Amino acid sequence: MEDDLALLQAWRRGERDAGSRLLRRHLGTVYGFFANKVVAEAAEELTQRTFETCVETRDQIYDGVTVRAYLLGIARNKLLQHHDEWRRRGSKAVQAGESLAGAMGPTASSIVARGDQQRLVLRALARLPLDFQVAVELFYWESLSVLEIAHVLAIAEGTVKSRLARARGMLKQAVAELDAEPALTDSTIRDLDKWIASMRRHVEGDDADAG
Amino acid sequence: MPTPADAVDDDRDWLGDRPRDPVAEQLVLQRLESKLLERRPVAVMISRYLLLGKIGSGGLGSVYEAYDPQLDRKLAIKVLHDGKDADGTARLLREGQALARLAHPNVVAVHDVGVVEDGQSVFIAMERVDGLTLADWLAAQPRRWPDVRDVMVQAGRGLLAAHEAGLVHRDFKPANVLVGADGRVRVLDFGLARAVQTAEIESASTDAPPAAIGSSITATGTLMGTPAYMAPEQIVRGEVGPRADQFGFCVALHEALYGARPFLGDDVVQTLLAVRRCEPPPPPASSRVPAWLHRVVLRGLAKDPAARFAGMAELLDAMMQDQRSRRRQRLGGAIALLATAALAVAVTLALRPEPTAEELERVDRIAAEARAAAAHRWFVYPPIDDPDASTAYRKVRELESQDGAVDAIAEDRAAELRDEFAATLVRLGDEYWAREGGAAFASDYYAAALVFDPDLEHARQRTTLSPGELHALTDKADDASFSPAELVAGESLAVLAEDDPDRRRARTDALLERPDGPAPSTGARLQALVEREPPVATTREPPVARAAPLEPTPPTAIAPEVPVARSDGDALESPVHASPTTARREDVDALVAAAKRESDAGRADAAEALLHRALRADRDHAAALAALAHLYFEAAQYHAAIRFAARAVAAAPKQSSYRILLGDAHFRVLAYDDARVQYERALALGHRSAAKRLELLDERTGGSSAR
Repeated sequence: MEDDLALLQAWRRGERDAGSRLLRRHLGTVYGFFANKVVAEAAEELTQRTFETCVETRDQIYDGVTVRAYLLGIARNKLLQHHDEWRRRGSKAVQAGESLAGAMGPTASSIVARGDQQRLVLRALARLPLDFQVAVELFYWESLSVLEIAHVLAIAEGTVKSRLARARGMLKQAVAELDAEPALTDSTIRDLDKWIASMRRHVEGDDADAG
Repeated sequence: MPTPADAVDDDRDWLGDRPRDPVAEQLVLQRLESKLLERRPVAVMISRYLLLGKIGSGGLGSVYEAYDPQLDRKLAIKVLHDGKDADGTARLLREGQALARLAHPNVVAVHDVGVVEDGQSVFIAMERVDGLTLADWLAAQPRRWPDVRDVMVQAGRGLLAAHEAGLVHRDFKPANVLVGADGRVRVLDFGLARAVQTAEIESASTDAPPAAIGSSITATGTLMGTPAYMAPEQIVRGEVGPRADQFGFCVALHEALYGARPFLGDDVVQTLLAVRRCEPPPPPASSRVPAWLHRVVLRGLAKDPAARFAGMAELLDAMMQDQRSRRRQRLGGAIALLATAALAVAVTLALRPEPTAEELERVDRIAAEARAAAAHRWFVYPPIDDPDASTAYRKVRELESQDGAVDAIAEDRAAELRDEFAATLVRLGDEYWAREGGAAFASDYYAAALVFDPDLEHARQRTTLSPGELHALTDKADDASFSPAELVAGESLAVLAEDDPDRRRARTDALLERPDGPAPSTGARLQALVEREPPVATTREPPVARAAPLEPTPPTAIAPEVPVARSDGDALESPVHASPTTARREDVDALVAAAKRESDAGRADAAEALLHRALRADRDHAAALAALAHLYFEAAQYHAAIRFAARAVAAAPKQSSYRILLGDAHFRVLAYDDARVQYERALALGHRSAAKRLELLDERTGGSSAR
């Protein structure tokens, strides 16, 4: 941990070697954070902006917060800005001319799921409001402490715990819905209208629940 | 039974790990290092390919631009993720291999298939096409409907090739069609193509719900496709087959011709509902697309798959129907007017702007080249050792593609030639049909005849080729993309069509001696047929394929011993097409001399005809070859000049002037290295101009000849 902090400070002083090592350590985390939420080009660009910001600002990093969590905090902010830009442009959630497989508007994922289970997880996560999704990811995938998650989301520690609990409930419900919904598998689409109705809910719900 | 919802209680296990894409991460790392730290990037490799950047990502995987250092070329690499396990990976690998087996000019070529180091992802390395997607091409400038049609027909041929190999595209749309800068259209992203296996279900996983197993037409996997281009049966029942591809193709065709898709909706949901209703709108009033083509589009968009065309071959035929009826129209008109070439020209001239003398000469020249090729029996297949050489068919196509004031005349000439060559080939087919051991060759003659005239019922009946194969043959004849084996087969046909017994035997021997020659059984049959009498296959009379027999025959035989052509344009066609007489060796020199005189007098076409005759008698006559090379050089046909000069050099390696000529021709097409080789040899042989040529070359290339 200190190691990371020392590297960041060194990078801020202009030592490129340090920057390289830091980048190598944490690129996966930061890029991965964006990759299941936005398209590939955006993921790369947001990753770049995140690292640029972290080396250019002179923020202090709080005690008990790792550099990794610090980076994820910056990343979350960049993501919110990105969503705001999209909303301002007023783009429709889905364009009919694009492939179903992958493009759902600004939240399109550039991550390709391996296998049905992972696909299910990603889709269920994507149904949660953004900060709930982030909370779950940070806790389970990044193993951040409650304190760190509080820092990243700019909320109190207590709120983190309750949010996580609520998130679990939401996930369960999302999974149940997905399971009941005739999924995007050709072998199970039998009732087009029901599927279309659930698609419509998903498409419209996305804009309503975010944030 | 535990539901997936229960699983969430076992949080951590269920959520698993964050999914990663190591290849993409590598690339991003590389780029950020260079942007943020000004570091030289480290190469990211897949197998032997160097990744340059991500081009895009789709449902099944990501596409990267890459470089192959071994072959020094750029390509595109698609990395597919779907292997949850070894089975999944194996299935993907099989798909990739199926794609690699598809070799067709209108399908993006697959160069390599393999597994990425992590063992989970399959990569497919494909050609990188320099061009625009169909959508961009349409948007770039207003396109006339015939051009749109021609581009779509090319794409359709790619689909046809896939269908014939048992593959279905499943996601045909304008974004998956590339119009190359070289004019060739390629279909890509067969990433969704799966071998449609009607009987077996691929890797039936135990997780799949029972309903899935029952549907025998679908392959397991996710439903993907683009809503606007999906067929109704694909949406409703998940049925995917060649007719679904046909539907998607026609949606794209509609969009390309009219500027809008036939089934519109504001979002996915509305679009899918519109497709399911399947009620295409009438074409815009301002559209100039002909009604017959609109009917073709409509049929392909039929809601019931059985109502659509039987297959892509029939659809493409229907899309091209104006080409055939146009020829018939013109020929019909010509017959009614006692068709001689001159009279047909006069009539059409009266109706159109005046073509220039230069244009008319060009038409004559191309027609003469067609006849020259036909004289060598290169109707559809070129010579084995010179696959780029002109064939009669390619020359006919060249005539048909003449634009401007002269196009009607050129078309008429092409139509005549088509009928003539088709008739010759049919006659050859008839000849060998009756002979023992000749049926297979006859079938090929009939097929070749159908390349020239697809309407010949008689030939259709007797050939063993399917419509799809005939399409493929016509395509290959168009762009000379024959495989070596096909060229060898073509030579057998040429041999059997030779009317001079000595030449026939010589060509047969040459063919059978080749290490890559025909199989022993074919060779034996060939030999047996060759021993007998030659066929009476020379075309002296005009074709009789049409209703009324044509009246005055086109100008024909001049006594071959008089090696002088008349000075007007018409006569060009005759000498090469005269009755079969061998010019003996002494005569060959006379022919060459006569050709020189014609050429000096400015009658290049006559000279050319004479030289071709000379070469018929003696293929390796160096002087004739060199003289022809000169002619082509003067006419700025540098590639032809290269071919003949190269043969001249091969025939007479010590003749330095031939090397200079060959070097000059190479120079003109910017093949500087090849030019250098020839100039240096010429220098070594003592040619006085060689040194100066090398200086010029150095100036041009900035190199040094002093080694």
